[in-house]
Amino acid sequence: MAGGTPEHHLTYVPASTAVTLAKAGVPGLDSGVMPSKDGRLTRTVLAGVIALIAGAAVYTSVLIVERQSALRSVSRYNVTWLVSQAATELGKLQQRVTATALPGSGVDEDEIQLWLDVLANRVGLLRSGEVAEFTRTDPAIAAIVDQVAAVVDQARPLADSLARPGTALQLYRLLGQLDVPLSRLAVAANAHAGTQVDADQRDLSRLHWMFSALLLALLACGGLLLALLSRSRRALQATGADLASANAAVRAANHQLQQRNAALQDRDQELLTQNQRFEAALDNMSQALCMVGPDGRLIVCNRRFLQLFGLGSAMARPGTDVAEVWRRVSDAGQFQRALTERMFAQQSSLIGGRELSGFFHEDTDGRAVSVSHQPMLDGGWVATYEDISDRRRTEARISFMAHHDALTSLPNRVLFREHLEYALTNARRGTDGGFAVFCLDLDRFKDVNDTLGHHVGDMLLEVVAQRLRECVRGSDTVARLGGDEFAILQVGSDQPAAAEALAGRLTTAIAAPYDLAGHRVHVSVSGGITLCPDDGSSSERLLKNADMALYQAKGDGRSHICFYKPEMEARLQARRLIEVDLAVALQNGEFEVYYHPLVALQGEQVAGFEALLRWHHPHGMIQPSHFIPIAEDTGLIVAIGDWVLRQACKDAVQWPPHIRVSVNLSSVQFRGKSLIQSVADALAESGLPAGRLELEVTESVLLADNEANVEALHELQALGVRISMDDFGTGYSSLSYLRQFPFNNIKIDQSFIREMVRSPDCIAIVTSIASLAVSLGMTTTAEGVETAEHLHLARQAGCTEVQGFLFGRPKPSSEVDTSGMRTTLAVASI
Amino acid sequence: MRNALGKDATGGNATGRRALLASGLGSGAWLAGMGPGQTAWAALAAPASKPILTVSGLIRSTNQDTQAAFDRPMLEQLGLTTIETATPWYTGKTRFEGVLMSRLMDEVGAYGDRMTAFALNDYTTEIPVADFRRFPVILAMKRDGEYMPVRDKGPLFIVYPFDSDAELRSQKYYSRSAWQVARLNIT
Repeated sequence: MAGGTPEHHLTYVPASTAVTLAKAGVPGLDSGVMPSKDGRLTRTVLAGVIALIAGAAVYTSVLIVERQSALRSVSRYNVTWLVSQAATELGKLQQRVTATALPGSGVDEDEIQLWLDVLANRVGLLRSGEVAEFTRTDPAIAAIVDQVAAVVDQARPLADSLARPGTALQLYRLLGQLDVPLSRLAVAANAHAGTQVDADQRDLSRLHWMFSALLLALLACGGLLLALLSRSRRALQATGADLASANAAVRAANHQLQQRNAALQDRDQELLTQNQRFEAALDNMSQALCMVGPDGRLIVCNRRFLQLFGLGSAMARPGTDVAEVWRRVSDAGQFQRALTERMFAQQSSLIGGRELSGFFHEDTDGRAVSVSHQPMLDGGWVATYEDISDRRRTEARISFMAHHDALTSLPNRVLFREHLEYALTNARRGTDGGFAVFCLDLDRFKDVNDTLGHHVGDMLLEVVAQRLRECVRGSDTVARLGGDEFAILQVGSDQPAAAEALAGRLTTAIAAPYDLAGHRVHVSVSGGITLCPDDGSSSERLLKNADMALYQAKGDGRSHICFYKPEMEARLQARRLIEVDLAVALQNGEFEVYYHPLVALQGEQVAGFEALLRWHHPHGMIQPSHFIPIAEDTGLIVAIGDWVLRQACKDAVQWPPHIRVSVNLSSVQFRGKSLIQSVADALAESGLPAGRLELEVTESVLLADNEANVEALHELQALGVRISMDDFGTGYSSLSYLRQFPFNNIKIDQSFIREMVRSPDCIAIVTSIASLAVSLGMTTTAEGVETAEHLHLARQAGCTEVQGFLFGRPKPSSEVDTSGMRTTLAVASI
Repeated sequence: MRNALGKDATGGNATGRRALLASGLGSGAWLAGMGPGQTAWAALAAPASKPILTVSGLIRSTNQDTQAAFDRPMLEQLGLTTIETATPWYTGKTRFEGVLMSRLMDEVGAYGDRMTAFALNDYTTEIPVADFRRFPVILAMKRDGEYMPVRDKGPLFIVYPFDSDAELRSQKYYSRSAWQVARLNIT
């Protein structure tokens, strides 16, 4: 048993309790070692002896009470004495009566009466109380008492008249009658008392014998106990060894138990630590967690759970029904009731399932909670909750950013495509009528960016976006497709009238001046329009066609918006071909520089040649007016221009020293920083003196107060190169350009020269330009001199040089005649 | 004790109450064993009618030479105490009324420790004064509301409250219960 106890005590008990248990096992072991039959007998006998002693003690007590009672009756009131006193008192009365007869005795009637009273009192005593029990036992004795009473009564009258002679004697005799009866009464009383004493003594004697017997019984019990004790001691000695080994076993078991306890305590401590860690981990989770048992009652929830749902700790104590917890969560109002109820309804449907479920619910305020619900094997479940409102907002923001342009907040290309697809779907269904797609591009936006900086460019885009928005209805979509490209989706069936009206509004709105960071900026817009379903039935096709129309608008000289027409495609195709071929033309050596003479009116000889680019396309010659804009648009003009410069310089160095070469520069070439270097390199490579090189720029180079271009022109001039203004008079404010830069030469546009024939005003204009140039220290070249009359008028107007077919067509370098101009001039002057 | 002390002692007339108060005070002084001369004792008035009791011996208050004589009113003035008890001399319970012996001892300023009672029938018995401290012993004048004549243990009867204590129901105390008492002597 002692060995078995710790083996079966696998449940954890504190060390102190376990030790107590082990110790408590020892007495049980003692009794177990005794032979069981002997032990039972001994116990029975012992119990018997104890019962005997107890019985004897009780009986002794009873006897003692009895004895006390007997003794009391012995010491009870002494009847004998009381009765015998009657005789004494009678004697004393008789003595008093006798004394009355003697003179001077002092005894008077009162004393006799007193004594009669005393005697009467005695009679009363004999008739009542305990004495009455005696006097009533015998009629004879009762008669004596009655006699005494009668005598006392008879004596009273006599005592009153005691003075009368003979009365005393009479009284004495009367009293004398009582002598014998009273003596007899005393004897009877004595005998009665003797009988009572005898009875008492018998009682006492009986009690004595009982005590003796009891004592003997007690002695016997004592002996029996002694015998039992000695027997027990022998048994104890016999089992001493067993006890010792059993004790050792108990000690070993105890030790083992203590060790186990220590181990258990360690484990307990470990569990405690783990518990604390678990709690810390639970409470520091960013997610709210609650665990519910199979009975639907809360096992645990963490601090975050309470915070998330706005519960006090008392509102979600372990053991609370989870339905109650949910109700409290809904009441707490951290989230809209609809949200929490939907969420918990979904969770309820998952209870009893086996799969991990993740879902989230969102309310109309944009608050959202994600739930991860994981059933447990025992039928309970654990769920984590997370407030993903911020994440959802971020996602929404990212989604917005993915669909909108950051700068203008307009929908971007992706969203525009979506809207377009949606509009197409509606159009196919017939729910909406047709719609128009606009592709818009700001003209010369790049110039604004380059000259005023990206900052101003961005500001311009923002204002443009705003103006575009103001031009359309709410149901229309304005998008920024990138850079300065915008698109508009205009819904409504009143096409193309509505699109045309919008195009007009857009052109006007965009063309209005912009005040940006202290700069006044003018831009225009070019655009293409396609109509659905007329021009296409897919978004790709519609966009492409709109783009094509835009291209056409740009090609047509910008600043307007045109509708797509099917033939645009063919034109565009051709243009694409030119682009492709242009890219390889330079390296294929398909370009050639032609020269057109510039004739000085003073001295009538060739002063120089203008270098003109010719493209020998494999399919035939292509006009500069066809490919130069494309080269400008594609940027190829930079490389081509560079080649022309170098080629022109190389050719010119072969010519007589007084003949210069004039090369056209595109405004595009000014955008890069390479122009100055390119010019310097061309001069250096060819060895042509800078003074023999003239660069022709158009007014566009000076457009929009382009400081950088003016700076570049100064640098070029500083190289010693002459700078000439080409096509003077075609721009809006040609004269103002003259103020901006000190040109060396002005080339008056051929339209003025042709017009001079018919218009005297024109002659006046040309004349004043020429005289103005003189006053500014500039020379003038009249372009487009085709007839002798033109030559004459140019001379009349005061131009310095002339150029035109009158002096031949442009020729390749090999055919250039640098000497034979005089004759021609002479002919012309005729 | 409750049986022994009758209603007259506590709820009786004003005289009785006053007497009991005096008894209490006097008893205290007496119990403390004060010596002679320490307390100014009120002079004992002379009896107006025939005395029924004389107290002699070691007493401080006297009104007849060296003894104190009491007529019935004087005794009654000391206050009456009632004892209802069974006795060997009467069948059933009997109600006795009389002066507490301790009160009487105070009244006469007794300073002895033994008292001898002398009865009209020449019976004498000696009682330790300590009895009066241990038990409310009375000097009974009335039995069942009637003055006791000499024919019926009158005029005075020393009664112990036998029912209140088993010890009292013995020959020793029965013999101390003297009737027809006329004189007491303190020694």
